Amino acid sequence: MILTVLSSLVVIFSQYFYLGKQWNLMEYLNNWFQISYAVALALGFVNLTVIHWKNIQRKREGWVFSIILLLTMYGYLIVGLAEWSFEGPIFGWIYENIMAALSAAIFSMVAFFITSAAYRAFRVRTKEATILLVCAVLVMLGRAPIGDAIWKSWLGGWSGFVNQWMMGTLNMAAMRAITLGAYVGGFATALRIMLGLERAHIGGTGTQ
Amino acid sequence: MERLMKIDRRIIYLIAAALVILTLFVPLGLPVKISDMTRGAYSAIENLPDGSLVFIAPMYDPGARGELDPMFVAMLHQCAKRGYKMLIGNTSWTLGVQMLHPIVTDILGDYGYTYGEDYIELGSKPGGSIWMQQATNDLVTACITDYNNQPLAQFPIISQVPKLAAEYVDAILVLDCGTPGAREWLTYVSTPTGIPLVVGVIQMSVPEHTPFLDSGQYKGLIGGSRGAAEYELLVGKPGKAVKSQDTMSVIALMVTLFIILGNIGYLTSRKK
Amino acid sequence: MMWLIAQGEAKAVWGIFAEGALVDFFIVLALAVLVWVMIARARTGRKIPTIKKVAGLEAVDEAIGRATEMGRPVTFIPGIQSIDNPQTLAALGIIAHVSRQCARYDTRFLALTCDPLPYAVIEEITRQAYLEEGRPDAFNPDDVRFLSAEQFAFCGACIGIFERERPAANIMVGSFYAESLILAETGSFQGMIQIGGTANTHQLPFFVAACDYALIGEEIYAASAYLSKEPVMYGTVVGQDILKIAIWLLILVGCIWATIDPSTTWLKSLLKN
Repeated sequence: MILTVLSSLVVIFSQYFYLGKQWNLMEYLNNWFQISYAVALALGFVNLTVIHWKNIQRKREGWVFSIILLLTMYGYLIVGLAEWSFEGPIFGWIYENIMAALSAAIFSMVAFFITSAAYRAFRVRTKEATILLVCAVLVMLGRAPIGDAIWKSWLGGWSGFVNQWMMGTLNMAAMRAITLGAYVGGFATALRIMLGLERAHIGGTGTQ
Repeated sequence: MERLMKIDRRIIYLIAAALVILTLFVPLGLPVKISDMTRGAYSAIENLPDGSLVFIAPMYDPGARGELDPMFVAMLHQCAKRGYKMLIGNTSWTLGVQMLHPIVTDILGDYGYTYGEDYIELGSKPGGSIWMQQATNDLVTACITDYNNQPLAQFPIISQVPKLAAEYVDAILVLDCGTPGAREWLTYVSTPTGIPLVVGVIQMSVPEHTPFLDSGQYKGLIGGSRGAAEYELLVGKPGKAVKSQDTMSVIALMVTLFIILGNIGYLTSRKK
Repeated sequence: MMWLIAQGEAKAVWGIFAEGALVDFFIVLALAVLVWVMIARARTGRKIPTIKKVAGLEAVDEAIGRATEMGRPVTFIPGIQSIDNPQTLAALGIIAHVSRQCARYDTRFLALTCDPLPYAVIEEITRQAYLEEGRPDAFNPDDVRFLSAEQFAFCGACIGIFERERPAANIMVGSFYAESLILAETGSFQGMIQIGGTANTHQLPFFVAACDYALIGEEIYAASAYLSKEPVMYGTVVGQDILKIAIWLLILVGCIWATIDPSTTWLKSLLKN
């Protein structure tokens, strides 16, 4: 708790007082953060190893995949250490052709999930849900060239107006309000931790 | 009719996949209307003074390549056509600069750009917003080396940019898909130094960033795949984003149709 | 401290403050004072406003109860950002409550993290929760897992765990990005009761569409106060709301003044200090 409060005071000093800026305290804090992150990453590495090793030892369901995971994890680590560069031939090839491709593949699933989520969620259950449905359809079609073609035949020169007004006026007002609230809330959470009212981050389960 | 409310999601996925594949082979060729927002972003970059120096920050990873790669390519083309000098790098998105390096080398090579004199790749630096603050004080100390681990001070272009400040950098062009991203560039670099900021974002982030465009904090905003397509057309290099618009149109229609079917089923079941 | 001297060029405002930080500092101070006042009122037993009913937070206990009845686990995903993100810190407060409830009702609690720092903290929170409930033997450290620091690798791992472990309840509170819809939709297909909360506005629509309950923006920050039901914690939320009202008034004054005199910049100059 004392460490939390002291660290918070150091960060406040580094951001709000000119001596803190003069001394460039944030750079040192950032370096310490990077070091602690690296140590925690090693801890996470150990956690993965322990869990999957136990799976293999006890031959739990899917233990073969645990072998593949451990081989991949340690293999890529060894390759990276041996080549000591992101540009290394094997390290770079694995990244470009496996990791990047898999990342893009999983991200592309979002498109399909959006279709099923929209199909399930947009029902005319209540007045608000109906308004949501109409706005969603108008905006969705408005963002695609087909929407321009459809609206142009009905609305002529006003075809872009509906979409722009909904996104630029209606939506932006709500976004600003939610963003403002979220930032103030985040601010208050940080203050609670700084004042020692909340202790979850140090492993406590309670509040004061 | 009630079965319309419970269509198996696998059928929806199959139809979506089929339509995506179909539009790859049978393009609809629908015209892409240029929006004021994208035109504003294009103009903000185009109207920079001759001989400008811009910082391009591709703050994304492979997941967002589909939407942001076309913007990045078009941005390089526009800046190279105008003869701007470029610093290209980011912070915290380690894998982003690695995947874009071949694109940068190919495109700028075609325009006769010389590495170290006309452009430089800084690579990805750790530190996020802290790095950005450091770069506004001293760029060489913040970066130390370039993408190839060569000391930065040896490159002629760096002597023109001792730090990220309005007197040295004419614009910052950020491609954002998460945190740290455009908002950090706005908070820690653009606002304190006064360097204009032009931003390209993925579609789902457009509502979040539009208020900053409206308030004048961003000088331009390119939004999503549609924005990327419009931008490609403005730059005169139609590419992947333009080609993907047909797919977007077809999928938008498909989703609308399924929503209508689902509601017909819902209303029918409610009546009963 | 010699090695710290003269690292950069900083200008002083009012002798001690950094340039551009004066107004920010006083806002922080104002909120701190507000919070202390509200806490003092709560501690002396004076009446302070309570938090309105938040459906998503009311549903947390319902979700845990459902999982207990079905004999299936509860999963918790505290977002994909590290512990320096306020949303992750807010999630830790909820984890403390959820893990205590799970320990009490002997329900399996699975915490899935995308970052090693929160993983270390969550393991300690969960261990402490089981200890406080008198069930230290029931705590399984393997149920708190660091899956991957890569966003979509983490997403793939979570989907796999949903398919294999088949949790009855899934609580996702924190900073989410593109993986939010994939997780929420997969959970929906599995028939889990889902509570999703984030302050990332670009992911809110996905949680609203795919989850049974959604916590919007600042509701996640009020969660620890709401779930603890302690008047002292309520005080901090009241302080936060008073600050919001002050900001609202400032916006109103600015809008009216800018309408009357569009060339005015006094407010902007004042806030830039």
